[in-house]
Amino acid sequence: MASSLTALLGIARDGAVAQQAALQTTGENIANASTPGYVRRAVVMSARSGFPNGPGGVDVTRTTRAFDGFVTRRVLDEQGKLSAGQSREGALAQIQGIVAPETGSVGDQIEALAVAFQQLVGFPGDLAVRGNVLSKAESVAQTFHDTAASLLGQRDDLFRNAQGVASDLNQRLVAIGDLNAKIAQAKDSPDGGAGLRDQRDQLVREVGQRIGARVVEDPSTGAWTLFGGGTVLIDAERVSSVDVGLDPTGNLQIQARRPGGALIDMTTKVVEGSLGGLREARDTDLVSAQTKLDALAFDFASSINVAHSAGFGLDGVSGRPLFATSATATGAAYAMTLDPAVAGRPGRLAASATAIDVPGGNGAALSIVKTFDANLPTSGLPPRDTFAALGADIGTRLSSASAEIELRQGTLGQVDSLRESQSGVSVEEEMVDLTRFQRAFEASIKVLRTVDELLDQLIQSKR
Amino acid sequence: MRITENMRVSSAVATQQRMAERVQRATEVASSGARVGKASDDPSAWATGQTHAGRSAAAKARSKVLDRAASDLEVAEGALASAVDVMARARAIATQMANGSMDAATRKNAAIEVDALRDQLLGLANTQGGAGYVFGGTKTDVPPFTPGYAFVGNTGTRAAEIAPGTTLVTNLSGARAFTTAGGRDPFADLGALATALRTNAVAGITAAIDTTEAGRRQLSDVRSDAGLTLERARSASEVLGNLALQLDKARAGELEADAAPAFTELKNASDAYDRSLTVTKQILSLSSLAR
Repeated sequence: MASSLTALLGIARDGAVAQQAALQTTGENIANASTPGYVRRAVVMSARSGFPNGPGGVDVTRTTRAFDGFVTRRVLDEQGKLSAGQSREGALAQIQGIVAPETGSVGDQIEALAVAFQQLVGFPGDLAVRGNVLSKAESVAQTFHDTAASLLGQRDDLFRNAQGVASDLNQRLVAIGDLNAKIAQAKDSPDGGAGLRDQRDQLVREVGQRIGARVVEDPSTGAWTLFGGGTVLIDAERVSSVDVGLDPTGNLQIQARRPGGALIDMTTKVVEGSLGGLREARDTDLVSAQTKLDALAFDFASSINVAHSAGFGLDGVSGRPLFATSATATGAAYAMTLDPAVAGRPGRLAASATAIDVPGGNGAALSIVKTFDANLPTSGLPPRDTFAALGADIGTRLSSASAEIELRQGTLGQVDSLRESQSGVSVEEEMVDLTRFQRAFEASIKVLRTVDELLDQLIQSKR
Repeated sequence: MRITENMRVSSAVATQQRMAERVQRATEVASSGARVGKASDDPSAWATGQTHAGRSAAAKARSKVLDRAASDLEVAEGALASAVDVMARARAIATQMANGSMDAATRKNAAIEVDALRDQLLGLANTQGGAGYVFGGTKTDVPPFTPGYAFVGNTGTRAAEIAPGTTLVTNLSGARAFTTAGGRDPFADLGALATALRTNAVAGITAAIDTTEAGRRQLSDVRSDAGLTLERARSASEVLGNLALQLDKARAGELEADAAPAFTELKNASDAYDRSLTVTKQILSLSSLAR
């Protein structure tokens, strides 16, 4: 009889200990209800077999994390795409502000020059009107130059941004490598290194935001192999770093530097995360805008120059271009200026088609005016419409990037909800558990007291 | 599905963010009146707006050029009307002085008037408009007729665009009006009349009746052409002005927001934001433990 009561005493003690562990885990869940990356824990209890020594008690066999690898991978996937869209959208908004500002754009200046030349048609010999044409032409050249310079500056900024992202990324890769080592050591601890795993989950998500990440877990060590940009960035504790530089053409070159120093070019594979977004914005969207702006500047200047060179200034001299720019379209916008022979000399502006028609002839001015309505060779559109197409192209890229962000936010919201639903902390649930475990704990204590009283009565009866 | 604290908060914050963005956008549209401010708002409408703006500015500029040309044509037409009167007066003098009852002294006095008429005609031939001497062809910076009545202008034309690729000649040929290029040289004819009057040469005076009439007709023909060109310039200017208005209207249709729907959206967005704020406060002040 006494031995049965003693066994019961042990069972009650184990029950109290198990419920206390459960209460502790519940408290931990509640405390971390809002902690980013925290995965809900649960204590797994199992009934201890009492055979052959009578009734069994309870054991806390392990603490589990409500972690779902599939959902986590989906979150990482969507996070990488969303971050790419957000980075690209930010850069495109800047590009749009440079190329197609609400006032003072290249298109506005071209329009102002067209109006000035129309005035010259009316008053070909008027020096004030000629001065206005030169002033507007200078504004066109200056605006082309400023726009091209701002785009070049924006390209430099995006390069520095990409380097900053790579620096942040590398810090996180190193931290994940350290955590992999610690997790391997804590694998057999009661909670299996749950806190370390939470930290790693969060860091991996942050890596995904920067480059897009995929993870594969080694079940034997619990270590994660992390892929980013189409290559292995972390293999257990071996951590690569990401270098961002420029290739000979000036485009971003993104390389993984292996622990031994070997370099793996992963540029074209970096399509996700903020690095992927910055790369697309810098080396695709911005380059497209630069190329189209240069083509517009070159074609526009060339067509005006042809008509202007055929005309005669008030001094009866012909053959002068109005604009000076590069020999080819490349860099034409940046290089554009007023031709030095004409700059500051309104009388040299060609308005007459023949020397004999000076100063009242306007044949050349009319020819120049017609170039504003004529199609340019590269775009197949008149200058103003070519600018409109350039602005619309950037606007379309930006609005589609925004639409993609909206889509990705919706998808990420769904998979995040799914992840939260499985791994997040519901305070209501935890409160119920708190009450449940508290009552179980109290009941175990009650058993202890009861056994104690029974033993006491047994001892008294023996006396 | 389990609902967690983070899900509640994330959902509330995301909704609040969307509502705030909606209010922001509705405020921008209602306060600026512009549905499309940036290319990304509506790339197609923005591009159309840019194209319309360019074409409208070009139409307005062409219209202005034509208005100014019309102004000079009006000046030229007025000068030619006066020139016609001058020649009519010269013909009247010739007719009157050809009468056998006139004596030599009266004819000498009439010669003085004819000389004055010739100087008046010279002044009219050297009339200036906004773009210089209106009868100088394209040589607009110097008087086209010298004090000796020699034509030093040219027959160059100055045109204005009435539509892309279509032009209208907006200046007049002084040569055709005032020199033998038009058939008669009115200055020479007036000079011959004055000489005939001064020398009491009745035959010369009689001959001047026809030559001054021919000169009057010549000037009148050029004046008619000027009037016709003036009307065409005015008409083209009006058409271009209307075109610019239509393009501006079309551009506004593409880019501007209707006031009533814009303010309705602002009101709806503000209401939705307030409601969302109330719900968010409830959710954030949660949890079920606090209620």
